[in-house]
Amino acid sequence: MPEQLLTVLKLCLLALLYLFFLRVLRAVWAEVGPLRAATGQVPRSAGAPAAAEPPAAGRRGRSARAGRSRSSRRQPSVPTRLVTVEPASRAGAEAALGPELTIGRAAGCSMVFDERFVSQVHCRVFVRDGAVFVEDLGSTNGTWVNGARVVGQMPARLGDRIQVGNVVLEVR
Amino acid sequence: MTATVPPSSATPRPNVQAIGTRRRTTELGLLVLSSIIVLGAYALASLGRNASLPADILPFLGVILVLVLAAHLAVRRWARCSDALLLPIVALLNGLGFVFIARLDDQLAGLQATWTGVGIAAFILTLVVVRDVRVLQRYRYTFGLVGVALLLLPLLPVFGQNINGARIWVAFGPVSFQPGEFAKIALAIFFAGYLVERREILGVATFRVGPFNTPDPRQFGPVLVAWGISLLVVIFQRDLGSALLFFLLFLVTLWVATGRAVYVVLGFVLFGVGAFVSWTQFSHVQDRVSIWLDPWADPAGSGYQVIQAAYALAWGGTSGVGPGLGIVDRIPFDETDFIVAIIGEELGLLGTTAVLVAFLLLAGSGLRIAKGAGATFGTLLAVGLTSLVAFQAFIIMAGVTRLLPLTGVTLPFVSYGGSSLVSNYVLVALLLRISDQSIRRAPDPLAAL
Repeated sequence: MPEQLLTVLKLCLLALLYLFFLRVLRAVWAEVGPLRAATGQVPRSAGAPAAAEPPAAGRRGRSARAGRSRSSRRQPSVPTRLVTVEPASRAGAEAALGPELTIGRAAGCSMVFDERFVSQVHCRVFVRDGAVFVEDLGSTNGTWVNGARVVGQMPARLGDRIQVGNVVLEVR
Repeated sequence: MTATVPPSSATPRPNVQAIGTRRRTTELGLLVLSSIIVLGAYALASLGRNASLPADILPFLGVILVLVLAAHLAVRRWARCSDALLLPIVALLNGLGFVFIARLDDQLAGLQATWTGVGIAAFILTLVVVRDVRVLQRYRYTFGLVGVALLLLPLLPVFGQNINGARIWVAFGPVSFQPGEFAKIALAIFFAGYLVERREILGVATFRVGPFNTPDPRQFGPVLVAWGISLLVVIFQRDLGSALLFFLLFLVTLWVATGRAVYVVLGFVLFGVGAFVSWTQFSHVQDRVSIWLDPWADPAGSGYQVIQAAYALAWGGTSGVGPGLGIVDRIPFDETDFIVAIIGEELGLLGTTAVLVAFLLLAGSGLRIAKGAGATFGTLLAVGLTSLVAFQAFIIMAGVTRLLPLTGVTLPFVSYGGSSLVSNYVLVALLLRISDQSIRRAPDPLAAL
């Protein structure tokens, strides 16, 4: 067997190896790339270790900031209402902000969400001296403002996103 | 502990069926390509050695197809939505390893083929038996006990065997195996299960040292225990590689669970202390370090392996001398610890880089699976299992290239070794299960515990 032929075959083998890796990378890209283009979301791989973080803090925080700049352009600067963003089936449902607005699963709440991650009386949102505050009422899954967990009474500004279980509300 | 909502529950659920079909099609395509590469390498190695095509090339092709198809169909049947890349990469590594083992030693090649068959069977069995990784979490303490028992098994007087200076073998009649290879999976399950319920306590900084907030020192107990076990492995079994692996596994899982770098810092300090003390106390550790620092002090004796590996890599150059054309029997243990040096000799820098890239992609896929599992037991387990494979590959390749002192662990899927092969196939099956489950999983409050 001529040595040159063996060398050529060897180089072909190496080329095939790297072709394999190229195909693998393309397969990864096929899953990561279009997903981002389709949903307009930051890919999940961004951000700090998942286990240490409150759920989707990075993503929600980022999209909330984007939402704030958008809404502040076309809306007056005083927050007046809470609008449901997620889940999609309830999107658009809204309530006026006032001295007391309760959110939960129980029928007596101002906004009722019959979702499995929402507690009976989950949290309250109230206006004091023109500022909006959120307070968790001992819910099982917690309340989050822009991905930060609500402890005590936390202020919320125009465009902020309040997450109640799997329900996301925007202050407008 | 409070349950938190997995982020996936708020977004519309993806079409599970379509994802599964697409992933399995990708997997099949990649498997065909990797089989072609392995077949080509096998033929080329024989051409280089005997200037003729191997006589058994058709049976070889048949065996590859049967094994690959069995694994692929099992994934299609029992883990349809799982990651598409793990199996092809593993098939490539295992196949390339086999080609080089067959080129070095026909008898070992037959054994390795048998072990690959057993490995695939174990892979399928794992997919069938473990339908839900959370079941493993329920038995975390059992797995912890089993892991420690497996680690200690070689120390038993009757079964334990001292082979090549390390007491890590167990013999039951004609079958001998390394229980440590299975212990690592059991311990990964235990660490993940233990830490997922403790991560909040371990992650809270309540203690001040000067300007730093650190977790309560009482919580450092588990780190110390893991460190102690690793040290015991070093002392009694003389198995430095495995000890390092267990310690890294624990540290990585702890770090991901708590998100606190203080544990990593503490771990490295403890590691430094442990390494220094064992260096001063134990001759087998001293030997390894002096060979690492200056193998030419005893070129015909203790430094022989490492020097020959360096020659082999140098002789290989950029693209290698060609499969089947290297010098056989140059390095002792070339089919286990030093297989990467053989690949380096015959396929050169490009070949060894390909092995590295394969492990990199394997680790990347594993971490992507962990990321997708949504802050659960599955995340920690996937991180643990991935780091086992990645660190083991790193430890042995770094040893061969003299980046680290040489410690005898196998190169996962590539080296000859039944226990290693079978346990790594089980490990990959678990990763596929986690990945499958994170796609399928309905929003479930318990899943986030």
